[in-house]
Amino acid sequence: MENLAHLFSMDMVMVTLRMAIPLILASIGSVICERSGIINLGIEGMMLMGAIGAVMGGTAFTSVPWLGVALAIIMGGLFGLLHAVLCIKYHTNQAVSGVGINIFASGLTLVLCKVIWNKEGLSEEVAQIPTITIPGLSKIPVLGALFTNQSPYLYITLFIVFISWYIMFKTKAGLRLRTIGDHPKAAATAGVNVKKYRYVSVILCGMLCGLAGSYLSIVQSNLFVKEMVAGRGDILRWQQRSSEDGILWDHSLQVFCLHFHRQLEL
Amino acid sequence: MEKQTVKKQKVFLSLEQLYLSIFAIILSLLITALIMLVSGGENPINAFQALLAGALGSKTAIATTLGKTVPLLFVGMACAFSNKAGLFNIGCEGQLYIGALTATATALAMQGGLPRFLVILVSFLTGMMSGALVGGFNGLLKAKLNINEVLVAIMLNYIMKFFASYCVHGPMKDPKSKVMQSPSIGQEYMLTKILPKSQLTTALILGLILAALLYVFINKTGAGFALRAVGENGSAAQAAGISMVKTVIITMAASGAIAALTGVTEVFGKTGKFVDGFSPGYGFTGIAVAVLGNNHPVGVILSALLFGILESGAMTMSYVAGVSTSMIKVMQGLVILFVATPELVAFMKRRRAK
Repeated sequence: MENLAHLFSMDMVMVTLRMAIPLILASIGSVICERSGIINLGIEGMMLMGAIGAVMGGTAFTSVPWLGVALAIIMGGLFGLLHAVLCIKYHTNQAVSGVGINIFASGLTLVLCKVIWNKEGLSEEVAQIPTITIPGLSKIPVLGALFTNQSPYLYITLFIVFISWYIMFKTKAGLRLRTIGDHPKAAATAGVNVKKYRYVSVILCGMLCGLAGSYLSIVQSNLFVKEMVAGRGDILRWQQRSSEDGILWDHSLQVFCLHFHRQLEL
Repeated sequence: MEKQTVKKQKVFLSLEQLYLSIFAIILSLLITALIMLVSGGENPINAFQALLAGALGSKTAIATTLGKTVPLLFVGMACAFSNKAGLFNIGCEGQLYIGALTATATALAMQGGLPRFLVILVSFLTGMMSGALVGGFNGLLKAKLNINEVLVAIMLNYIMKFFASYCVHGPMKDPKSKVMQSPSIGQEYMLTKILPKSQLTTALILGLILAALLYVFINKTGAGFALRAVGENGSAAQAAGISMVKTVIITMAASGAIAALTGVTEVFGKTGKFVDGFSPGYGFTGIAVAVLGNNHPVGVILSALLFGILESGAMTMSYVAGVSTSMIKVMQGLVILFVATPELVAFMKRRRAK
């Protein structure tokens, strides 16, 4: 009975929200990508590269964790570019390209571990992104927990969710993106540069997945471990489909619920 | 005159595909070599020599290589079979787990002096059936409700994998062992080893026979024709009277059954028990094998062999040349990316023509 009460406590909500952050980021990335008509099965690979990028930037090259985050985004974006070039320019089978990227990234991250830190599948520890507390807002009775001692990622994520919803559904660019996904030929006839939009979407997806991966290695823990992403990429596949007809909010809520369920196991 | 031209086209197409596959392999070898050089100053020639020596250097080595080829052969054929019908079976991972689980459970239930042939036959059949059910379910959802088979398959993978895991954590767990695995099915019910003390069993022969059967089925039977027709042009096939629903379901079911054999032969050939999480991602490598082999049984055999060589030579390569074993994964990933990009070859050709 006590457990049940705990399940619905603010604590649990917070933990769930925290654990959902990488999922939310990556799934927004993949929604953007899919809306432009490119299937991205390589989410896991891009997240892995982001995870290792964050640690690389944080230890090997500098000791400022935020630079690690920047590197994570860059590396995720590069892999996004790879997927984009393969699928858009060379008409590769998108699913195969995604799977190939996953395997490639899986191997590459381990090779990097060996080469940079001379360890098999484990990196050195890196400084984490510190948590912050917003002074005024944290005094609010219940919601205050939302502003106390949270990683900045939380706010960044919420911001990204809002912004991508806005752009996707309230701007011309978003409308064009959705049209490309549904009827690329109609969009092209209307004068929309289909290729450009697709490139941007896929690279953006890579960047967001990179950011998501960086959360895993630089916030949730402080190093990179072999196969860190642990299949989170696959779970996202379901998430992104359900947002096709709905709003991104619904979608984030679903990620939230998914993690809620995970908490049940704990 | 016309007949001759058509024949020439066919041969040309397969030659071009062969070029593509070889080109993809060479390109990924080059890039892997580049990565080796950049990352450690390791001499890539040394590394590749060690790789080949480790994979093919002795009788035991060859046996190990072939032993690693076998599961890839089965899963590659499963993916190739469904690819021919234009369907993507990404659910091989789950299918091989459930196949292995059911086959193990059957063998465990049939302990007690039954003839070896019977036990093996029935276990294999139950394994295949469970894979067929999972695959067929995926096919059903695709055929009737037009749900993307990739999504369903990925979700089913998780369901099957965790269900099997649950079984060996609890109901099917070996009480005598600390590891999460089932009790052994008994030495007498395992497949015969071709080379003693190696991991190579008669499963190889089974695989080769299956490849031959698949070739005959796909290319020489009416049903195989229907499959190919659906793969090349679904609407034309439907207009010609071929039942899409039936074809899709049966194809996915058959693909699932073959994928299940991957798991079954692993249990019956290598370990004799169902070990939790025994698959190092065979399901996904299978896709690569199928694509590299251009979905043709012979191609699949060759590319499974290539991957087998890579896997079994990786250890030696890392001892001798100090290269990380994960370099193999990098190479595999690159091969997949390159071979899935036919336009890349055309692009290269055009550049050379200039």
